[in-house]
Amino acid sequence: MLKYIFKRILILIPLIFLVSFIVFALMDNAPGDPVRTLVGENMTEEQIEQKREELGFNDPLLVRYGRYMKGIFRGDFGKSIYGNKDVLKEYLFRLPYTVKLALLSIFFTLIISIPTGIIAAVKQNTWIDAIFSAGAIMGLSIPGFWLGLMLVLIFSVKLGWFPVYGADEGLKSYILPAITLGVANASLLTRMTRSSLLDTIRQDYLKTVRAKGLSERKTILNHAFRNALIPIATIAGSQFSGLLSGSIIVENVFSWPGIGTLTVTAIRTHDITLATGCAVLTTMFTAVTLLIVDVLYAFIDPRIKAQYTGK
Amino acid sequence: MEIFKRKKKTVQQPKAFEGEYVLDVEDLKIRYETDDAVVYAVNGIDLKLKRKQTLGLVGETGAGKTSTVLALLKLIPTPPGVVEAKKILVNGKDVMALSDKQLQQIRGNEIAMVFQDPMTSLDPVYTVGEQIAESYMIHDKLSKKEALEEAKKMLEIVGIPAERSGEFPYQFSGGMKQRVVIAIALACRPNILIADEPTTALDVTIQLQVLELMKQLNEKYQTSTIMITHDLGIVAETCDEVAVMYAGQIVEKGTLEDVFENTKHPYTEGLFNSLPNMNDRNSKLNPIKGLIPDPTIVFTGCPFAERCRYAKEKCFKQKPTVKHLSESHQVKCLRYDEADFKIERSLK
Repeated sequence: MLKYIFKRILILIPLIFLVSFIVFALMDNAPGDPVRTLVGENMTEEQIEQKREELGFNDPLLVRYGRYMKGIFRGDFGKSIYGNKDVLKEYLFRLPYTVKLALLSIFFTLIISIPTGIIAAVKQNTWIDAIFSAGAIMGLSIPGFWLGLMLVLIFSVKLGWFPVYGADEGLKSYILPAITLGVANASLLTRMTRSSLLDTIRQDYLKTVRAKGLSERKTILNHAFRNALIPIATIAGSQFSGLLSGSIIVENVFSWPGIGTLTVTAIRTHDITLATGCAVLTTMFTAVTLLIVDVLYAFIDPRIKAQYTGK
Repeated sequence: MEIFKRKKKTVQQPKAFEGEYVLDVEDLKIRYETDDAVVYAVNGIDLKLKRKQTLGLVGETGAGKTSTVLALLKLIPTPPGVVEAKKILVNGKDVMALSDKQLQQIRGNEIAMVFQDPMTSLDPVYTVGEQIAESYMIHDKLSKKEALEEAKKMLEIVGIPAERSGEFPYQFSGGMKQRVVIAIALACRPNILIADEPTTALDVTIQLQVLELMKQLNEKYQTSTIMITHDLGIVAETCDEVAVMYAGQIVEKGTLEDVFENTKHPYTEGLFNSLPNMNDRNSKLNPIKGLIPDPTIVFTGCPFAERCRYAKEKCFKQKPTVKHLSESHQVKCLRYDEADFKIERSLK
């Protein structure tokens, strides 16, 4: 198992190279000049050129990229062009907001979608199933930004229960963005849970379990659902890693000080180091989250564990 | 302190039941109602099983054998299934009238089942030990630890080393899995064991081992058995009584001797004659012509008439009723006692 985890972490290294190079090259070719943006409009061409030289912008792309990567492996993600702030520090400062929001949102997703998915599957083709399915389709179709705005309008502006924007009021400020992020995820996961459970519910081994005299409830929960967990965990895992990279739209609606906002700001201001840093760090986080999900599989399904341990 | 004095429960005794028949089914009818059609799977079956006896249920695929036995555990999914019967008595209890909770107490405890395909009848995510232990936890109310200990003993009984109880089904071969399934079924010493083609999915060499094992255990625990199979060889090996099913009906029933030596129904004849001739490998196979009838059709006459080489006009028009030849032997055929009617069995 440890060997497997170690292997997966090693695979991260080429992945980081690839992602960072793509982002680096793209940012380099993007229209606009970071130096010009940085120094302002009152500078002469000479001064700009001098600044450019100073920041190393005149070196060839590969040289700059090499220099950047050397820094990364020492834990130095460079300094943002704007404000001259340490990129890693800036990222880590924003990260808790996004992580906490992601955790709350995935929690919300799971407690909604798993029970509804199970009920819909068990009551397949009844009106309950129809209502849950219709609800799930609706949840999937509602655009996040619209839902966010509506929630803010009703619960913050009209009723005043929650803050309108920002993350300054503790748990209260987390609730609306978490719900906004969670609705689409919960809808998808409800459908996933339903179909995955319907697959296992027809399996022969459930007949064995029922013939043993186990109650229907336990048959569904201990055996059918347990076997249906793999696809559910896959979807929930990728949803969670998606949440961790920060939702740009929802963070924007709620003026959330998270990773999404940081990344968008960096790109908008042509802040090459900050944008590349955000991309690389987010890649790492996503990869590690997915690794954790894969490790969780081993606990869900012994056959997968056997693959990992090479038994 | 009640808890501390609790005696460790024994799980060795078979369940006490003193009636003559452990199983008594009268006029069992099962149909599956879907949007498109109604499938008549079982059309009025009477079954009686004496203690310690083994009844063979023989017939082609689709004859309604599995539906019949699933109804005994009330495991037919409803809807689409509809089960009707005058009575289904298991150990004297009417399965039709029991609550879900009472049914759960019977299943696995008084009547247990071994399924056809061992590859798919074990839950892949639990160890075999846990799956056997589950029975003890449900019925004998043992703690998980005690139950796992019992499960190990049970594994030894079916010929699997106790150390392997922590392994998962994918680590076992087909024959071993079937042993585990048998261990699950026999864990709580049921009075009635239903074996639904327990050896169909296994290699021939393993089949014999599994049958031997079942036979031994049935003797040891005095279990009555219903053996579903389409292998007449297995019937000859293991059964005391035979019921031949066709299109959801029992067409002939009797002791092994009655049915094998004194065959009366043309369908039974066809089953025997379709066996390959081991002595003459050049002889042609002699299958029953035609196919098993569409189960959505309600017959006005004998369902076998279309395929029967003895069928006369009346066979298509009149429903055959059960005729008793002797106390044990019964047949459902209109012509069996007519003068020109004689079953031809090729001797093998």
